[in-house]
Amino acid sequence: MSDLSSKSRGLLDAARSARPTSAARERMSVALAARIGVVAIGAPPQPLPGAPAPLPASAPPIVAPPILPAPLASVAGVMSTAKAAVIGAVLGVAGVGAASAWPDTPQLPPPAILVAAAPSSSGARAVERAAPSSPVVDTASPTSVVEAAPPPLLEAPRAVEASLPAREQAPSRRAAAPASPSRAGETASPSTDSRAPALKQAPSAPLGAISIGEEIASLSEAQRSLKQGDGARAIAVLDELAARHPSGVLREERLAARVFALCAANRVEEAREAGQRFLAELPASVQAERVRASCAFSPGNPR
Amino acid sequence: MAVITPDLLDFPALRSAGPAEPTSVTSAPPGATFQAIYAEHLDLVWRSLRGLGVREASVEDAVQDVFLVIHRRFGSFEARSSFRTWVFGIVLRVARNHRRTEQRKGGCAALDAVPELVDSGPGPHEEAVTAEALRELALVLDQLDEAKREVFVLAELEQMSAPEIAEALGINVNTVYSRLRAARIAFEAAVAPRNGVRR
Repeated sequence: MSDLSSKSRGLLDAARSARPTSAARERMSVALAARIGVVAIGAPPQPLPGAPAPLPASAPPIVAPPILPAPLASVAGVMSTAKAAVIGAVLGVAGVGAASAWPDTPQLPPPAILVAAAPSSSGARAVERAAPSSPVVDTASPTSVVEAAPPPLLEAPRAVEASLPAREQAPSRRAAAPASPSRAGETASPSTDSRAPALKQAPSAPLGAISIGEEIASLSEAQRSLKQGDGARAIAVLDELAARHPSGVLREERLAARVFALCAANRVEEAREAGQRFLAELPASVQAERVRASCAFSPGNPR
Repeated sequence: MAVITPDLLDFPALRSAGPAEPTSVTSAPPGATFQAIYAEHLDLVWRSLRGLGVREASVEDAVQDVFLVIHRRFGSFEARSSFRTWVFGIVLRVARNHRRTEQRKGGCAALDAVPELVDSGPGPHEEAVTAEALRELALVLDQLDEAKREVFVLAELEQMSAPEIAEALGINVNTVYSRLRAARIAFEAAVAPRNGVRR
């Protein structure tokens, strides 16, 4: 069946057996964990026996959960508890069944491999990438928010789900997308991409290379503002992020956040417009349900 | 009134990935953890990125980019394709991005030989051989245009089926076949000089 020469076959077979070295594996595992912001990832969020009961709708703002249980302190020592906690909280590492250490890094490299970014304001460049071949990884800047004692790790998602309207409460609904072929909604580019899972990606921006750290930092700043009820500040942060990274990796999250921020600032009409634009473009977004649950689609303004 | 402030970036609940794919095709069963997905797909992501033209010096970043997207997008995986096909869709786009960045920077393939510290694992010779083969393969593939290269890598390096390739690329199966035929011809033409005098 193959039209290829035996030499070509041989080359392909040999190349197919190539694997990253264990040193490379370790570098990638550690760097990826830093970028995702989690050290421990367990089972996805599931209702556990004995989980805290859902909070009433008037629950106070959600406390960002730290994500490093004590056994992982040695890992945290490499990344710095503060940074990991903030990043992890922002990224909502609350999905836990059994939290377990990253399997490929039973022994973490010495701290020299992870270079801590100097503490700075959220506007500063949060993640710098050294020369591509370097294993140095900068984690996001720590902020003044340092979570000390870890509350139950499930608290945040349970609280989130409890505070949403009843139709949102089943965890499986959270990821449920509209029945419509939603891949088209996942990308801003035309139909050639619609059959394949698409990336939100501007043609000129290398994916993740520079912006992701800043995007996370800005989104976490916006989230903090929202939790303090400061919608105006959140909007300002998000607009600044939009100017800097209009087509960033986390554009979806930024657009959803803007809807929430407009709601928080009681700019309901603008929130409605933004929410409708969001759902028109990104109906399959994982943020779609939350956007629908926001003030943008309050009763009387059905979607 | 309490403002609902959903966590903007939390990992969405994993949805059911549907019935498991038979044998060699990897799937993401319900409850699959990200770390299991990472462990299972790391090698093929790394290797296919290299095949698709990501420079050795950039591939570790590109691998992370792929898994970052997998991590974020997992909630929208709809099981209309196999999980591996979905992963390859992401790999393709990350590779394209890196290639375009390289082109803008005027990257030179000759600089690809990044010295890797000698790994003290078993079979160092075999590892060196396969690593060199992958470098060689990437250099040959550099001479194919993007469309041919992608089909060729998915078919001949990653050994995906034509329907899977069609799904990953967003083209129809007939196009896969015709493009693969052309890609094989182009590949043979590109590899032939290298089998003789080394440049």
